[in-house]
Amino acid sequence: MPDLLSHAASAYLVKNIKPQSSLFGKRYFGMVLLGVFLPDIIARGTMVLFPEWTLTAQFFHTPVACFFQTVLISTFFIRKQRVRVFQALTLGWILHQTFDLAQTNLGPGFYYVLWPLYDHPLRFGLFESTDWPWVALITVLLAIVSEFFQKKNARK
Amino acid sequence: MKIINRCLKNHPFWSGWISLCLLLLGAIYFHSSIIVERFAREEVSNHNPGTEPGFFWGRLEKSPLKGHVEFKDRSGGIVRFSSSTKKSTLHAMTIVEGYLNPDRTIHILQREDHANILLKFGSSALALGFLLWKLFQIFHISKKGLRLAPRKQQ
Repeated sequence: MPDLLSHAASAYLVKNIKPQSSLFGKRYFGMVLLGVFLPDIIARGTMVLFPEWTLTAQFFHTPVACFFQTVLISTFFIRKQRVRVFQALTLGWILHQTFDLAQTNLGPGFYYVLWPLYDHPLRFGLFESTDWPWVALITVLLAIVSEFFQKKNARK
Repeated sequence: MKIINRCLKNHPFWSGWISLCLLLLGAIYFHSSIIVERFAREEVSNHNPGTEPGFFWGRLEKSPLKGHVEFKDRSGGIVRFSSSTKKSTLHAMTIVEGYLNPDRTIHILQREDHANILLKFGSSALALGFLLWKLFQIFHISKKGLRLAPRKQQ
């Protein structure tokens, strides 16, 4: 996985592509960020708490598991906001999965994106997982620059 | 999407419980359909020496044998190989591709060291702190459930 800093930066980049969407407003953008972190929070959290279940914890990183986690979290919100929270979280974890697919490492990998339809991990291999410091630096810089220009445009 | 909207709006209690049950069932099915087979293929202790190469992931540790390091995977399987590994890569996560020799050594074809994993955890912790701060700014607890509203608008 790229580190969480890169994932957060990717959310800001997407936000600045379509800033007028209500999902990127002050109310729901926090939930998009939570969605971006969600696959790693649950999967890595399980790995830390139960190291003997490290491989099984990869299930919580699959889109199927993310979908049910999103439904579960959304049910805790007031009726009026439930659907928007669901949409914001879903956008977040889709972004996370897309970014994760871009990296590659030695071996088959752990991203079972199409499970249970397809039993093998997938990846596009745009960069090596050991290159994450450069990926983090570039995405964070791009996010800061896009945020700066977006705020400048909003002031106009 | 309409079904999800309806379930979330009208049946949050059952939507939540069914999701939780499906998550647990999914984890069990994932373990039996994927992980058991990967354990058999990718753990040192399950791998027969002299057979075709495999991928193993674990960490490197100092070996009592001079000029060697030990690779310990999560199953507790230990193999040795001769290497002049830097101190920084010891204890960090490593993925190796190679085949086992009968004398508990490994012939390495490829190796990937994740030496700066602590830095990765550090930057992720920073991002997690940022997320908590963002959530603190918008989260409100009411009798009807959690509510999102920027603090300034109150």
